[in-house]
Amino acid sequence: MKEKNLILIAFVISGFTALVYEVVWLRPLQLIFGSTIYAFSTILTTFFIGFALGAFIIRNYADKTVNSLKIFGMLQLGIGLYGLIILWLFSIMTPIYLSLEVAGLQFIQFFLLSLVIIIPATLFGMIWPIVNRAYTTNEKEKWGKNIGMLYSANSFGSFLGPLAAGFLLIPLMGIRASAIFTASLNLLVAITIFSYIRLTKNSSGDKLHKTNHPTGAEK
Amino acid sequence: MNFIKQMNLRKLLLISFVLSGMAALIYQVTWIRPLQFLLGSTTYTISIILAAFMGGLALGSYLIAKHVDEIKNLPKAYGLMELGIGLYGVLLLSIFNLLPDVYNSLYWLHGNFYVFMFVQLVLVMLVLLVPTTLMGMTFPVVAKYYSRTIGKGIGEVYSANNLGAIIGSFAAGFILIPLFGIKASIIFAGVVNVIIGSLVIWKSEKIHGGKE
Repeated sequence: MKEKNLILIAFVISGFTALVYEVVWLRPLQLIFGSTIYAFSTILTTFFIGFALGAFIIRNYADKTVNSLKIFGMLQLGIGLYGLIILWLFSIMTPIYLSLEVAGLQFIQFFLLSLVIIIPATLFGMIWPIVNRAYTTNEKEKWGKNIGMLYSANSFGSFLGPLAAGFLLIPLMGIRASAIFTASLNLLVAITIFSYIRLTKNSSGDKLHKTNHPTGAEK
Repeated sequence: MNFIKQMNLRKLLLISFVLSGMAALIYQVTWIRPLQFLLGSTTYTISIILAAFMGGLALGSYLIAKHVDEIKNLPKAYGLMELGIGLYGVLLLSIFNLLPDVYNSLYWLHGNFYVFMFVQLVLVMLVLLVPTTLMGMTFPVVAKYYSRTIGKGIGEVYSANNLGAIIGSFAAGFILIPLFGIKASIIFAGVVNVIIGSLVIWKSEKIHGGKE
């Protein structure tokens, strides 16, 4: 398989899992908040904060690194591992709320749950500059097409995600199994990327980084 | 001299993209309301609305991907897209009024759950198709024009858009809708799109005008 297609498919799955998580995590949060609107706002807002933060933090590093594909894999690994334990994290928070009897409880709930969700959301945000670095070619004349294809791939995954979560995964497997299924997709992507890197490195030296920019390209 | 003007247009585009992300989330949060009245407020409805939004973004960026690199005046193209989003965003208000009749005429399909849900998805996608497709087109255009190096460029454009999304979802849920209602909120977002669209077009004409 060509490296570009691998990245594109991996990014479809990445977008898919992000939106499945949004819908799946909605359920336990509904129970904590007792309200769909607050739960949905908490997830949505925290995701956007994480996306903005992650992309911003890693932007310069994304230009410097020569291992963008490997870092993409590591980010997927991190999301997958976190996805396995997050429901447990939500559940250990419940006793904390129950012990609190203060004004502004809803705000504390929002803050604590955001703290849990912001970690994977930031990892998702970091993927954007990294994946663009890994996918785009040196010639700026082709950037528009490359960026467009990546954005489209990710959005297509995000289109399938909520449909799969709402109509298939949750009704068929329930919340817990859906969360674990989604996390294993992230882990699968990570493993596939790592194996690809190992295979191509063994067979053809440093061919892998041919499409990457030279360090600090085009200032 | 021209370099400075160019810089300013880059900055203007980035700031516009913050506001564009804000308007997008104001739409998303406000559009959910009339659609929930119609389709019901369940996880299914939220799934359908999220999917319809994302489907439009995917389509828009796919359609523009092949052509971005041939566009001479990227800022102007972006400005026109913003104008389109703003105008259609406000036009949607009257389209929502037609929806109950369309929905009623399709209601006989509700015997089969999956068929009915699919019909709802198609209906919502059709209604939101134009603005969400335009929104999907903006990202590659802005990113291509703004980026000098890919990591930094994408990082900043993507952050800017999401920063706007944070402001938009917060403003819509806690300020605009409670204080001014759904209609005024949608018009507000539409006005934001039209203003940034006009500003970007005006500025890009000043710089690129002679060249074309």
